Amino acid sequence: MLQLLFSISTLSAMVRLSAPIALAAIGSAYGHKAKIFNIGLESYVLTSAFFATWGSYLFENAFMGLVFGIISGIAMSAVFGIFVLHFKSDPIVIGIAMNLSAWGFTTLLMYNIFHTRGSVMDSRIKSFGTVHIPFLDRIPFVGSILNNQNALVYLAFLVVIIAQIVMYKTPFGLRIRGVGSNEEAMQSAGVSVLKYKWASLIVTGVLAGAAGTCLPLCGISMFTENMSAGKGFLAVSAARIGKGDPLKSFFACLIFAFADALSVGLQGFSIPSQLVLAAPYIITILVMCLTNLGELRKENV
Amino acid sequence: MEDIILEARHICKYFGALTANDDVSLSVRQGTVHSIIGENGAGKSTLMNIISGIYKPNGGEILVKGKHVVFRNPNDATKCGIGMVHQEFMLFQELTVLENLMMGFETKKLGGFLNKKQAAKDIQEIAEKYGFSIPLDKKVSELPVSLLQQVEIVKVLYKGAEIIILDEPTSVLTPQGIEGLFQAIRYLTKQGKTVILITHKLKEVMEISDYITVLKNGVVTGNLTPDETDEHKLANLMVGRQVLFNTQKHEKKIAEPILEIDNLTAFGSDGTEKVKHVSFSVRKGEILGIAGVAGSGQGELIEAIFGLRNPESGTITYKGENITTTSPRRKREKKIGYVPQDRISTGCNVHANLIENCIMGYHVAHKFKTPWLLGKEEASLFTRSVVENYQVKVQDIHNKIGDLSGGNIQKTIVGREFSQNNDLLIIEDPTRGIDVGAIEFIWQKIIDIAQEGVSVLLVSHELGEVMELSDRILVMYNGEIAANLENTPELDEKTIGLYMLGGKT
Amino acid sequence: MKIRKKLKISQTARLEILKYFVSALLVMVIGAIIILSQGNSPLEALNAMIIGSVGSPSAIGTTIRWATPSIITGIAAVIAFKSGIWNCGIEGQMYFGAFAAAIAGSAITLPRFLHIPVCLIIGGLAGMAFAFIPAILKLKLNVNELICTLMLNYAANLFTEYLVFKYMGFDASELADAIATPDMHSTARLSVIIPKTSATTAFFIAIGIAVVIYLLYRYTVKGYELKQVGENLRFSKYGGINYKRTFIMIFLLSGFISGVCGGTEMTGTFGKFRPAFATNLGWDGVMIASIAKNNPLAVIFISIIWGMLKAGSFQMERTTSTNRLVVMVLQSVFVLLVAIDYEALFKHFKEKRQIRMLRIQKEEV
Repeated sequence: MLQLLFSISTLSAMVRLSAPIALAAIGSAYGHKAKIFNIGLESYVLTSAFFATWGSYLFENAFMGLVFGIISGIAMSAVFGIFVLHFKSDPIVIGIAMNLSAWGFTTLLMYNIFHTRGSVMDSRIKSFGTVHIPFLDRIPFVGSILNNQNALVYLAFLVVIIAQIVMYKTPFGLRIRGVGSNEEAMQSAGVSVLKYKWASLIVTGVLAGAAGTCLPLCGISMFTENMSAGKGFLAVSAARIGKGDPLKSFFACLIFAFADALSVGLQGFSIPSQLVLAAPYIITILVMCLTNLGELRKENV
Repeated sequence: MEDIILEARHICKYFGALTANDDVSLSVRQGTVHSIIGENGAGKSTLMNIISGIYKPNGGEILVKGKHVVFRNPNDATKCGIGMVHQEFMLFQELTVLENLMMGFETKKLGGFLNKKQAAKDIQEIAEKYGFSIPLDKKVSELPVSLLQQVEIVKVLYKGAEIIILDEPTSVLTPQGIEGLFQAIRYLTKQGKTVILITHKLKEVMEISDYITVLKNGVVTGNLTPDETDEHKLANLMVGRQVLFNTQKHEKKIAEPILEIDNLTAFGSDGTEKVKHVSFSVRKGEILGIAGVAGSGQGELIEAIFGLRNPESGTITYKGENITTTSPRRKREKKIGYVPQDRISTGCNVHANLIENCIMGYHVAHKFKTPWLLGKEEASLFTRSVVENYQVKVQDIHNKIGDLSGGNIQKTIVGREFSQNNDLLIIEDPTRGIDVGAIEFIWQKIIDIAQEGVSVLLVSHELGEVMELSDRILVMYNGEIAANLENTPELDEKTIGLYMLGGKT
Repeated sequence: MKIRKKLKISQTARLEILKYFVSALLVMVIGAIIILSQGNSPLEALNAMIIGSVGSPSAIGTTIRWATPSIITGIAAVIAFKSGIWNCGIEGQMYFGAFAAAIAGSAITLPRFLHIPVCLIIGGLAGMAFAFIPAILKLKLNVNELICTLMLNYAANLFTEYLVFKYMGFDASELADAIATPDMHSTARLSVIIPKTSATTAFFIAIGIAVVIYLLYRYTVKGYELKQVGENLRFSKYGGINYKRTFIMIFLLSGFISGVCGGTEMTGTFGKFRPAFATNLGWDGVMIASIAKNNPLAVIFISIIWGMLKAGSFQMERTTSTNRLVVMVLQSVFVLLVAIDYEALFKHFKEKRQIRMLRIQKEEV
């Protein structure tokens, strides 16, 4: 049992499963820094998962799937942005409504386009392939965990690093952090608050779109109803746990992905499958509890 | 040297039905200190927000160095050399001082990355030139108020300001801090910079200004120099009648202590110790004033006393009973009232009507006839009495409190707390940002209620207010009581100021 | 003076009605487009919807059947949202309530007048117990209740399924249809009010709950406190409202009502607990509460419309082959449209126009 916990296959699965959550969480981190509470992320992931499948199906090309996924992510952000930033609606209400409509919307589209219910499988849907990195072969253990992962997994790693640099080393990141910190001061500094709120939303859309793409095009090449299964929510909580810091949010994602990987590995054991499947959600709550333990004293007012 | 650098002609600005500026004209000469005075709501800040490009005027024009300019946003004003230091500092708490200064004005290096090194060098140079020293790598949230003001001034200088607008800069400073600020202002003007000072404190105006413009109800009522005028004349121009802040005080008997604080320690919201082993007592019928620089722990002390914050150690005794950890609910039942500093976020619910606002606390301390049902009639009766006795200008008590002016909201809150037969009133900054008439009214009410034997614990960041009203003054510095003084006519601001800075122990 | 004031009120009310009317119209247009894109006739679909929802006694019965849980979960959401607490775990709390009620209905024998209340109360208590988790975590550890309840929904769904397996001793080889708790006794079942439909007396229970909550907010001190807590938390703490107790109370009450909804579903329609029996019933409540702007009486009204939509959508799917998920999409689009702050929008445009006029003036000069 313990061997299973830290076996190469579990850890490798963790790395694989962390990709979609991490991409979405980095997107959410930019929203978090700009003080936009976007619970609708779940709908971004689901919608772009569908469109990525469709794009891949149309062009028989995984890359076009990614393009479709990203565009649909941006479109979702546009909806959210128009309602929240321009129509002054409550972001939580909008997020919930978007999440609910996404399920119906994607299922409807699936029916319209593929004429099936439940799930779509088609040989024309192409996934991204795995990438072999020769120099990782030389590193024992770690190498075999990191090597031969899907291209999107490496993309996710790259995004984490770039996001961290952009957040802290560029004027863009500085301004995103400023918008979340004090809007009035931002205005007096002559920076448009609206513009940077939109910018953060677009970043969220792009990355959540990529995250959605991971779900169908990371090897399984199929789309199922309600495929996101809370990945977007996990990403939002990861960004909250990391307080909008891309690297810290990524570590939170790794923990969630580990729980996910375990639930895959544990299915062979005598533990009831429902409890195993519930583990990632329970662990998310536990991690939120633990990270808040340290800051208890501050909030005694 | 004294060329006209900035001119505003016939500026008009309306907010809905409200006229904030009506045909206001102003010319400012280079290298001078030009004060704009007027009471709250006279349109000073509006005018400055127009000049610095935050608001767009409904009419009129602005000339900088003789050239017409139209500001679409604050950036345009910055490019014309106009920089404003707002009363509420425009700083980012979570970011470092350096990041604050760079915001919107970033120095970049190859590849579009931030060039923090270059920016830091440039800023240090400017700071040294004008005699400021600020820590660039610290987070803003860690700095004291006086330093934040310097950060703000350096910020506008860094952005190349020729004209520096200071909005009520002295309200957060001690007398000594004000002295320091004035030195800096004089130094700046000597270097050719122009300073526009917005204030309502006449003494300071007379001391520092070269030119004075007086605003009243959005209209210019005077353009003068300090030599031609004195404080009384200015006050007359500002208010339109003689203001005599001579509240009526009578002899009264001050009896035994009603509230005793012993060795109280409390933590702030950032987890640091803000109140350190504080002990004092309030006697029956006494007005005890607490003075101190903003952020010296007064807020935390008051919250701890009222039960909004858990004290770390120490005891609070009220009428001989230990109430250290009692909830605000129980404290209200024991006849303790509280007028909080922030009337919008704590003192009222802007979404609710006057009745709902007035019965808050009353419903705890006095209960309605039945314990379960809300007595609508009783509630509106109480609200009416508050509105009448405290001259709240409102058409209907079913109106939302958020639609009233600041002064009227404050009168409602004061009325609510004062009308509940409380034995102890905790009052925090009761007159911040309200008009002169309301200030006079509230001050008189405080004096009157103490006359009736109610004890008052008054915290104010306006030293003048504390000195005007209190029987006894405590000075807080860095979470401790630095002084406990009887308020005699001999007591002067300078002495208290020294305590406020921790200079004297 | 008085007359003008009355006019003003009626004007805001009229604007509000106009807003809902326009939203509904827009939703219909969008719906027509979606139905057309599926290759069906919107008019036929509408016709089927009307027949399916009010066209016959049994259609009305179906409408009532679906309106019932909507009212109860809507009220559960109103209680939480009105006090600014984002309890999105209604779905999960309902699952626990339903499971507990189903067990109580099958495992114990009691006379009818006792059995039904016992089932409902046990269901409510189970929902309440499950709501206690996010409540205490928020209070003690400041865990965001929204995310926490979302996670717990997934967990609740899986966990009740596990409980069914455990209780019945099933193993994974069982057919999906057979996985359920035993049938409840007839003493634990509510009476049907329209024959041959699932419309039961649960509808009256639902309306009763809504009215009680309405009276609570309108006439009691507690209701006053709950409203203030939602509108300005700092003000409430300062005014002497015991926030912690109020917070727990709201969460538990919301959980209790969610659990009762699970109970009425069991004692009313289902008669035994099946895993994942009620997709999205909890979310219906969330949507309804936000459309009703947290007004308990409006919840009843909107829930009935909700029930009509649902009942009609089944008919529509049967007769026109239009997928009934269209209705669900339209429902959430309606939530989106009603969430728009028209007042702020109007102000914004007015300011913009002023600025534009000013620019034109300047150019003329």
